Amino acid sequence: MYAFLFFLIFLLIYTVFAVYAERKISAFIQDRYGPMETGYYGLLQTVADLLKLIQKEDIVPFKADKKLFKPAPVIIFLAVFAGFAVLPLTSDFAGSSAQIGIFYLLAIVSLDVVGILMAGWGSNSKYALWGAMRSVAQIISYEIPLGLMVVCVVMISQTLNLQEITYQQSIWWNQINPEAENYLFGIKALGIETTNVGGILTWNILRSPLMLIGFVIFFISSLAESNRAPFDIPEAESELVGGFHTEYSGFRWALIMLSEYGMMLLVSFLAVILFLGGWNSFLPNIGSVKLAEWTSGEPGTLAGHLWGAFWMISKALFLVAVQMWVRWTYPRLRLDQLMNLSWKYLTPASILLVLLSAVWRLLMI
Amino acid sequence: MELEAILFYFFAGITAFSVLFIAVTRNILYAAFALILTFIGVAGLFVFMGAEFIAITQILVYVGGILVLLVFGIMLTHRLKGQKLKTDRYQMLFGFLISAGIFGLFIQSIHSGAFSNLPWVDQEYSQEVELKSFGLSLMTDYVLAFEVIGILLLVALIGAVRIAGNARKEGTDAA
Amino acid sequence: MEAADDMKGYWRNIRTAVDTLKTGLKVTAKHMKDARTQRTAIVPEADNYFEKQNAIFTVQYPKEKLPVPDHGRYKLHNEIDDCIVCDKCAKVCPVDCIDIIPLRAVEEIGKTSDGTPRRIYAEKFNIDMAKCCFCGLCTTVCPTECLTMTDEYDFSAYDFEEHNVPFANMTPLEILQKKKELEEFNKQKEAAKALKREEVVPEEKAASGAKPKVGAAKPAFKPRVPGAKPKVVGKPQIPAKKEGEEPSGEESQSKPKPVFKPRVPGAKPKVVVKPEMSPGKAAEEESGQEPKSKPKPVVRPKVQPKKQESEESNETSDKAPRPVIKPKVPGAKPKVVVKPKVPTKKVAEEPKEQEAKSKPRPVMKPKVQQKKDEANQSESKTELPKKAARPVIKPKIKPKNTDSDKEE
Ligand code: SF4
Ligand code: SF4
Repeated sequence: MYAFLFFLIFLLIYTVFAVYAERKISAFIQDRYGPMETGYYGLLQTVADLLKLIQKEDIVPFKADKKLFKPAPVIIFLAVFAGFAVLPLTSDFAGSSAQIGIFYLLAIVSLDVVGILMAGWGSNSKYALWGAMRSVAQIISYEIPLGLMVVCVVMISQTLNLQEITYQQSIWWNQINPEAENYLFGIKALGIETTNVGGILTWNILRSPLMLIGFVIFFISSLAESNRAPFDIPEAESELVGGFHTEYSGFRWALIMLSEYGMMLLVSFLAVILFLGGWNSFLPNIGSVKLAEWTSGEPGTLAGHLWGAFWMISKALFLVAVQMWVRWTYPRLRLDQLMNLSWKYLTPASILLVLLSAVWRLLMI
Repeated sequence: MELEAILFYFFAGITAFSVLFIAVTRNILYAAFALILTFIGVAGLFVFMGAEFIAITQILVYVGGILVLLVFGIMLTHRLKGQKLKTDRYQMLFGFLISAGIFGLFIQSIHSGAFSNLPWVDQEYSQEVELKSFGLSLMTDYVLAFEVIGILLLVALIGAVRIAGNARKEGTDAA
Repeated sequence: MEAADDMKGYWRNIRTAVDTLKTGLKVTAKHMKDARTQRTAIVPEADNYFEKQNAIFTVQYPKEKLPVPDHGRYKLHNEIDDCIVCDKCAKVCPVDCIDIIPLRAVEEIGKTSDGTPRRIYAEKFNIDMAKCCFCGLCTTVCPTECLTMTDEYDFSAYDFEEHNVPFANMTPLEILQKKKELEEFNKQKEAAKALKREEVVPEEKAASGAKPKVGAAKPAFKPRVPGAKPKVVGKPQIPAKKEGEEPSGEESQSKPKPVFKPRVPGAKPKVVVKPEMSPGKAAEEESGQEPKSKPKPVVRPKVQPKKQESEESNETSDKAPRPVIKPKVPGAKPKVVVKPKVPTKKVAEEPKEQEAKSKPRPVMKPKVQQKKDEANQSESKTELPKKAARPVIKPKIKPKNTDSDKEE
C-alpha cells in the first residue's frame, strides 16, 4: 500500500519535472534556454502547463468509437503503473516481492499495447490508426530482444525475483543467503571474491561482463518500448501529427503523456535493477576503506532505506536523462530500418548472448 | 467476506461477463477486446490457485502476443478497407441448446466428481510456486514434450518466414 | 561469395552505427556542456564567426536585447516641427502608408531647423507602420530630413490601429481655426483674382480646377493641391524657353547628389511660369525642389522647346541610371503628361533630330525608340507598348504639346 502511494506520487512529481528536464535538455543541446519565465529558471513551467491541461475540454471526436476511445488512456496508464508494483525501491521496500516479479513486469507492460490499439482504433482517425499500428509492430518486435536480455540476467541470477536479483549485486547478499559468493567478473577460477567488496564490481554488468553488451541491447529495446526517439515513429510528429494520441486532449492526453514518461521511468528502473545494481552504491569496499558500507545502510534500517532509495532513484533518473539525451541527438528511424535493427541485429545478438550467458553461468559455479 | 473472496468473485465475474459479451456482441473488434478481458480474468483466477507463473504466462502469451496480433489483423483487414466489422448470428436455437447441454454436463460432472474430496486438494499448497522445481521437471520429466513444442514452434516460424518472405529473391518456385 | 560480402556489410553496418552514434552523442554532449555560457553577438564579418558554434545564442528578449545599429532602419519618426509638409514622402512611398492632410497657412509659420520656411500645417500626418515596408525611400526624399528611421524595432501593439502612428500635433481646435483663416484668405484672393482675371484671361482655364490656386503671381506655393496627384507634372513644363536653360544647368549639377534636401531657394523663380496646364501650379512648387530630389527626374522629357529639349534630354539620359522615377503619374493626373521615361543615351541624341522634323512630337517621350525611330514618330506611341520592359513611357502627352506649342 505504501509502495502504491509512494510510486503514484513519485510518478506524478517525476513526470512534471521530467517534462521540464526534457525541455531543458533539448534546449541546451540546441543552444537555447528552454522555459525561463515561470518560476526560477522556468521550474514551474510544466506545473503551469499541467494546470492548463487539466482545465481543458475533454474532446471526444464525434465519429470516434467512444467505448474504446475513452478508456484507452486509462488502460495505458494502468498497464504502466501496474509495472511499478514489483519494483524493489530499497532493500526492504517493495510493492510486492512476487517470485516471478520480472516475468510479471514483462507481461504487464505488454498490456500497454492493448491500450494503444484501443486509442488508435477508437479515434477513428487515420493518423491515430497508423500510429497505433506502428506502435504495436514496434513494441512487439522489440519485446523480443528485451525479453531475451531479461532471460540472460535471469540465467545469471537464477531467480525471477527482482528483490533477490538486487541482493545478489549487493554487499548484503550473505544476509539472505549465507553461502552465496560473488567473484570478480563472475569467474570463480580467478579466485577473487567480491561478495564483500560490493560496489560496481558486483553489479550484473561486471558480474558477467557479457551483460555490458546486454545492457546496451536492453537500453535500445527499452527506448523502442517506450516509443522514444529515435524509435518514435508511432508519434512521428512530422508525418502522423501525434500518432495514436492525435485525437486526445485535456486530461486524457495528460494521462497518455504521464504513461509515456512513466514507461521511461519503468524501463529505467528495470535496467537499473537488472544491470546496474539496483539500490546498491557504486562505490566498492577497498580494504579497510568501506566505501560501499558507508554509502549504503544495513537492510531494514532507516539508513538502508534512504541510501537505497537515493541510489535507485538517482540511477534511474540518470538513465532517463540519457534517454532524453539520445532522443535529442538522433534522427528518427524509418519503419524498415526499425524492423531491420530489431530483427537482423538485436535479436540475433540477443540469442547469441543468451547462449553465452548460459556458458558464463557455468563459470560462476 | 474477506478481501480475497471479493477479489475472487471479481475476477470470476470479469471472466464470465466478458465471455458472455463475446457471445452476444456482433462487433468483432469488441469481441477481441472482451477476449483480452477474459484472459485477464482467467489469469486472476490462476493467481488464486497459486499458479502465478501460469497466470503471468497467460497474460504474456495470450494478451501481449496472440490477441494483439488478432486485433492487429482485424484492423489491417477491415478498417483500412472501410468494411463494417459485423458478424451475423446463425443457428441461434441449436447453439443455445448445445451450449446449455454442455454447461449442464459440466455442472453435473463437477458435482458428482466431488473434487473437494480428492486427496491432493486439501493439501496445503504453498503460496509460493516452486519455480525451481517447475523448471527442473520441465527439463527432466517433461523434456520430450518441451522439445517437441520447441521444434513445432521453430517449424511454424520457418514456415511463416517462407510464406511471408520476399518471393522475388526466392526464385520462381516461391510464387 | 555474396554471402561473405553480405556478412562484411553486416559487420560494417554495426561498426558504422556504433561510431556514428558515439559521435552524435559527443556532439550533443558538448553542446549541453557549453550551454552554461551565452554566446556573444558576433557580426558575420568577424574572423571567428564560424568558429563559435556552441553556447546558448538565444537572448531572453524583453530582458536582454542585442544591440542594433544607431541608424537602424526600423520605426519611422517624424520631427513634425521640421516638416514642411511637402508631401514628397507620401508620394514616394511604395505602399502608400503615409497619410498627410496639409493645411495651408496664410503666411510663413516658422522655419525648420535647417532654415527652410514652413508654410503649411500638417492637419494629419500618419504613418501606418503596419503597412510600411521600411524601404526608407521616404527618409531619402524628405527635403528637411525631418523624417528619419530610428533604432526602435519593438513597437508591437494589441490593436492594429496603434500601428498607425500620428505625428501631427495640431489640436482640432487649432485646425478649425487655421481653416477659417485660410478661408478668409482665399476669399480675399478670389477678390483679387477677379480683378486680375480681367487682365489675364488665358491662364484662367488652367487654373480653374484647383481651389487654392494662388494667383499665378506667386506660383511658388501653390503646391500641393490636396489631391496629391500633381506629382509629376511639374517639372516638365518648366521649360519655358528662356528659363528652361537654367533648370537644366541646375539639374545637371544636382544629379549626382540628388539626394539632398536642402532645397535651394533659388529654384523657385523658375517655376514661375507658364502654368500651362492646370495641374501646373501644383507642379511648380515641386519643380523648384526637384532639382534636389532625384526621384523627380521624371519629368524632363517633355520639354517642348526644341533646343532646350536636346539639352534636357541629355540630362535625363544621364540621370537614367537613377531611374528612380516613380511612374506615379497615373492616369489620374490631369494632363499630366509624361513619364520621364527617358533613359537610354541614344535617345537623347535622337530627340534632336526628331525635333527638327516635327516639333510637336518631341514631346512624346523619346523614350524608347532607339535606333531609327525618327521616321515614325507618330507610330512611336504604338511602338512603345511593345517595349513593355521599359514601361517607361507614358504616352499621355498630347495636351502638353499643344500647350507648349502655344507658348512657344
Ligand atoms: S519606409 Fe518606405 S514604406 Fe515606409 S513609409 Fe517610408 S517610403 Fe513608405
Ligand atoms: S518629405 Fe519630409 S518635409 Fe516633406 S512632408 Fe514628408 S516628412 Fe515632411
